[in-house]
Amino acid sequence: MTVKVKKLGFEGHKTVFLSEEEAQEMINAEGERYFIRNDKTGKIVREIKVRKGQELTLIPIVAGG
Amino acid sequence: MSVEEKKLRINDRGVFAVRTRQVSPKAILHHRARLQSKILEAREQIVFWQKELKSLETELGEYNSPVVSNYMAQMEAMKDKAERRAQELLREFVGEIAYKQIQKKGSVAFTAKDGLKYRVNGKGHVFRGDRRLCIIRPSQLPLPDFVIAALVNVREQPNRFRFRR
Repeated sequence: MTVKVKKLGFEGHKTVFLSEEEAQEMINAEGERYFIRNDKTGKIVREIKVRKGQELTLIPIVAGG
Repeated sequence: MSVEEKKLRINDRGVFAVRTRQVSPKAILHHRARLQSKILEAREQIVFWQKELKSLETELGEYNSPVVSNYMAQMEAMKDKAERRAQELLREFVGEIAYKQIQKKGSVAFTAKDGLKYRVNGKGHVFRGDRRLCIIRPSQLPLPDFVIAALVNVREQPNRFRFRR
């Protein structure tokens, strides 16, 4: 069972299916620039312990004036 | 020393002050040399501009090539696809009712973590009351994806955003 990660970014969002470790690595590396949404609960978190079967969306943190 | 004459000529087209000057052989030589130098300069400029013209035409030719046109069409198709997928994601993200509200009424209201009410419209503009917040749209982020980003950012961290001036 994999982790489904949707990442919003340039040229639209991309959906990737990753292993637990790969997803955690991705979140750790890029988490600072994104909000993480747990798609199953609809909750937004800044940190997450990735588990199998999770569906996550990475939403970019945008700058304000 | 050259002799100069000034005369007025009057005809049906008007009055003309005409100046004639006798030129010495020395002045003729000077004038010839100056004209030759100007001709050389003009020839050099013609060569430069011919090269420049050729270079511009070649560059334009490359930009007009089928490879570039195909690339542009491909990029356009990708952009359209990304836009459609982004619309689907927005629908999925905000829910069918809110999505229809954005489409129909132009905006949807939400409450942020500061307890205040905001609304976001289909262009990703977020308002508190009547005043719009300043949010910088990352380039190339499809509009529906930006609507999601704006909504989530303001909902989670409303204090980061000020009103637009």
